[in-house]
Amino acid sequence: MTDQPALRARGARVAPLSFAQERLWLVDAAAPGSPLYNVPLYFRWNGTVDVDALRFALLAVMARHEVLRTTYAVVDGDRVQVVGEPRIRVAVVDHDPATEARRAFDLATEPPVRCAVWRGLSTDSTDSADSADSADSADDTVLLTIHHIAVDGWSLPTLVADLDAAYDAVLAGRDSTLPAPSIQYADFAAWDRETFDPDLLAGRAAELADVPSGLRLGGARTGPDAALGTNTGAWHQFPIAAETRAAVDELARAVRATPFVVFLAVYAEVLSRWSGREEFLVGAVTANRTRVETEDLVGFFVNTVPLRCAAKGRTFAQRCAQLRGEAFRSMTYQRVPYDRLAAALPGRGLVEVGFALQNMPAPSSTRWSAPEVLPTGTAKWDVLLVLEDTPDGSGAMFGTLEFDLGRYPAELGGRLAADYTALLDHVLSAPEAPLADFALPYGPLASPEPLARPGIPDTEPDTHELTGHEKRAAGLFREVLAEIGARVADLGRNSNFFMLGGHSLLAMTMVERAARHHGIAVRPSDFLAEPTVARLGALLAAGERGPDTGHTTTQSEPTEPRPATSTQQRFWFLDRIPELRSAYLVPTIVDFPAGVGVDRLRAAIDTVLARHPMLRARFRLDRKLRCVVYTTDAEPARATVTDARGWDAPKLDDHIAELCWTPFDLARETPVRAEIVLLPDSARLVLCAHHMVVDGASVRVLLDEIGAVTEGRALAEPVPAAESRPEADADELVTALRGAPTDVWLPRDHPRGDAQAIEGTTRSITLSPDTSATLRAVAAETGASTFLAAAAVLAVTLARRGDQRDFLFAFPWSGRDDACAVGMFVNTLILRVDLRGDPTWRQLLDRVRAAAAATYRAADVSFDAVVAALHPERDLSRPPITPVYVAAGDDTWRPPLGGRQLPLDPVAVKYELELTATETAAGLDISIAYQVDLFDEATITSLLAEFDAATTALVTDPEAPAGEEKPS
Amino acid sequence: MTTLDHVREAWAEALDITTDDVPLDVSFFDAGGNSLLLLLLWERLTEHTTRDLKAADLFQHSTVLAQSEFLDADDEPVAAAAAPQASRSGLLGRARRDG
Repeated sequence: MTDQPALRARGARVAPLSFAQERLWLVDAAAPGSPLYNVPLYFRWNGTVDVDALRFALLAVMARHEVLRTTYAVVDGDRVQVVGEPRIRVAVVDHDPATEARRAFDLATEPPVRCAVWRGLSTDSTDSADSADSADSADDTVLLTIHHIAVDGWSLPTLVADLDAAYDAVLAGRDSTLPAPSIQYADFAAWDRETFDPDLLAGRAAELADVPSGLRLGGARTGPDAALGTNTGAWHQFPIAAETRAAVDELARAVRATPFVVFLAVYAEVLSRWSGREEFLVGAVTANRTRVETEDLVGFFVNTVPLRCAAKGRTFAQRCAQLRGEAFRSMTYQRVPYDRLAAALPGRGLVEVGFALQNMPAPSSTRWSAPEVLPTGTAKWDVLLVLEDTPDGSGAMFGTLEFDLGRYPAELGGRLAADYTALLDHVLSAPEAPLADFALPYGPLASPEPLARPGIPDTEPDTHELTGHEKRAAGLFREVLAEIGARVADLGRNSNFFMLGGHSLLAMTMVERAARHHGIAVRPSDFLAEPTVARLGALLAAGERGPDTGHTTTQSEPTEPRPATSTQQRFWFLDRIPELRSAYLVPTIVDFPAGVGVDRLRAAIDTVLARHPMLRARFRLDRKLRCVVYTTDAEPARATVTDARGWDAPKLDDHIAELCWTPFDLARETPVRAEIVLLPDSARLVLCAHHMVVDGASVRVLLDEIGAVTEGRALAEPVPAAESRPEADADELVTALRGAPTDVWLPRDHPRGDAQAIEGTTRSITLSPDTSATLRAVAAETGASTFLAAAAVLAVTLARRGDQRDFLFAFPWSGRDDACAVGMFVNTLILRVDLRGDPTWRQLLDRVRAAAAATYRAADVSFDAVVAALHPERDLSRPPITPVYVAAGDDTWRPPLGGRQLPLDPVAVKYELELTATETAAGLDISIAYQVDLFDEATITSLLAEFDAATTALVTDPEAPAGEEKPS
Repeated sequence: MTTLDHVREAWAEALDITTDDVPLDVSFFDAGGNSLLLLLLWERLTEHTTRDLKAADLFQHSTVLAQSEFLDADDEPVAAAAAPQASRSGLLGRARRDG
């Protein structure tokens, strides 16, 4: 036994990728939209397909095997698989099955399984020659297309048997649930990662380092286009008779080898003759199911193991003995990930020609003939030979030669297959005869080229001066190629990434780095289409939005651009509306006692501003991604100190207002500023940040931390900022809100202008302690908070003045999981207060509580989504949906270091009227911040008095009707 | 290209549809736009006009036809009053009066 971690069920919904999955994911990401790794399983049905039953059966199979309902994502730079719920559509279609087989998957968004049904397409009567009328009644066919990332050849028996059982159960009306396997593929993937053995990899890489790569058969195309191959493939299939198979088994026993070795030795001899090479590597496709728990799993386990083939030994028996040792050794390397091995042997290809022996055919059933894998018109290798047992159990086999038409002409398939079977038949009959005496029927299409000396890139000298972007591209080339030990001296415009020793995994790394270093998203496929310095330079130039202004200073902590949250995107938009942008600043003024120690305070502020990534954010609109993204690798803001001890009041007020209300250039500036203004009796801190990076709670966190650092206390690690979240379903919420007016009648003294104004001021009253306490108690009886009661009272106050009976008010939802995080977490929610039907106060409170509960359930629905549904025709004369905002204030927090928070006046308002209800020791404080362009002070003062009167009515008799009685 | 062509192209880019699919007399928001896409549109349109085009103008002139007419209208060049500055000094002015 080893001390390896156990392969056990973990039940994780999100898991790392296995090395095999990672390879396919990288190939897919490099060339999205390709059917290269489609596995189209074509079933000829016996009779008619019950489409509904088939769908339920597939859902049962997907339920059993998580990997069939898994999507793939990049989270924090790590590639992960995410297990979802079973979902599939089964459609009856009439387009060409070949087209359907070649339709690409989007691994990020859809499950890797598709199914289509054709009515009466199968007219193939070979299986039913005894049935005279089978030619007339054509059977249905089913195409089950699975992405290779979720399935391999060794999965098919389990998969097909499960489908058979589930389909039977559904048709019979039985429970189609299949028993869950003991572990899932994701469990294997996690184990695969944990048990990766770098020493094994290094050892194997050293063994293979001196075997020349670049196996080219005679007739291979040459030239730059052929250097990479095109992945456009062709198939040639050929039979191997049952007697031949039996003879192979016998020969294998005689030479104490496996049939795998015998078949491979024949292949190696044909390849040797076609290439003129005596030593080369062939990639053996191995099952890589090394643990018994994985044997019945569906999933992509296979690994490619390079096998060293040498034309040593005169007779075929001697060849088999030699290859037997190598094959046995290679099995100990079965788990060395092919991509890692290739990366460890830089500057050369690893294997170009592959071999697979697939000895577990998918079973047939009474419902269908065994599925055949349709060609996808692609080739994964230059040449791949797959030998399979036929599913009928006759002992016969068939071979498939898949080869790259970009590398070899179409006639290769037939000739190579003929040579293979001819030699196979010969060595069976004469294993001890000298191999050299046997002539292949065809031989290579042309004389093979002598082996090129590896590692000398054939690049023409570039005399062009590199452009700035090309220099950056060349820098990226150099950087990543250096990591695999490839030495790169002069790079020209035409220098080719692959000719310099790069490989596709490395190209992905380079592209990710381009995003990190330069903030530019380059699609891997765009680069791989033409992997040169000039091309990458052009892509960097195209991806850059405007020239860099040089504002960025040293990069302390490079980060990839992240998508902004929905709220941040909305605020970015509002920052582009000149009349509104100051309203989305969050200024705070705190007076500290003069003896606070300005130097310590300033150093503490710098420490705190530097530790929160969001406070270093730079935002930009990414045209390609069509969203706002941000990076956090710029220098942090630092506090400044201004001595204002000799200033008069107007000069001081102007200065403070400027600190509070000057907008930020969010693309180029740090979105926070802090200044200590020295006054005769105090040190006044003005801290201002853009609302995209802080909310009210964040400001309190920052001030608390500043206090702690000033006092010499240690801080815990900062909490990461908000992530952009997937859009939640808005339907239920929108239904609950629909029908209410998307505006509120208010006692305005002046008409609205064309553009919303933001200048505001605040008036407030404090309700008596008795009224406050009773209001709290009555609200609590219905389960409503004091804040919700205040919202209800506000609606009644407005209804008593005007005719409106149904109100929408905006209110904030903290949105945060962690009290110590710094960022913008708040979402704006909508509360409906419906006074129709003349409810009593108690009924009204109950309604508001229920409405709030419905809104809280949909707290993840973005405000933008609600706007889009309820108020799409918004204009800029007022806030969307409602001009009224209600919030609960917090009177429990005090600034540290004996500081005193000063009220802001004037204040920027985002709504026409903003009511804040704050529980204080003196009673419930009701403050209204209002737009001064719309309301006179007297109007707000009387509105507050009416609010007080309505509250008194409520606490006096909660069973009385809340509104004035009016004829309806 | 006419102004109308420029506007249609800018819509097509912002909405990620073909130019032929751009409706002429439907508001940007009804055609699938949102505030962020409006900024994409605004950025593109500013490249085709010497006017001081504001994002807010695209709310008031919300269809392709209206925007095209608006851009074509031979208005007096708008004085380049830096709007953010105006907003801030308004606020500051208020501060002085109230203080």
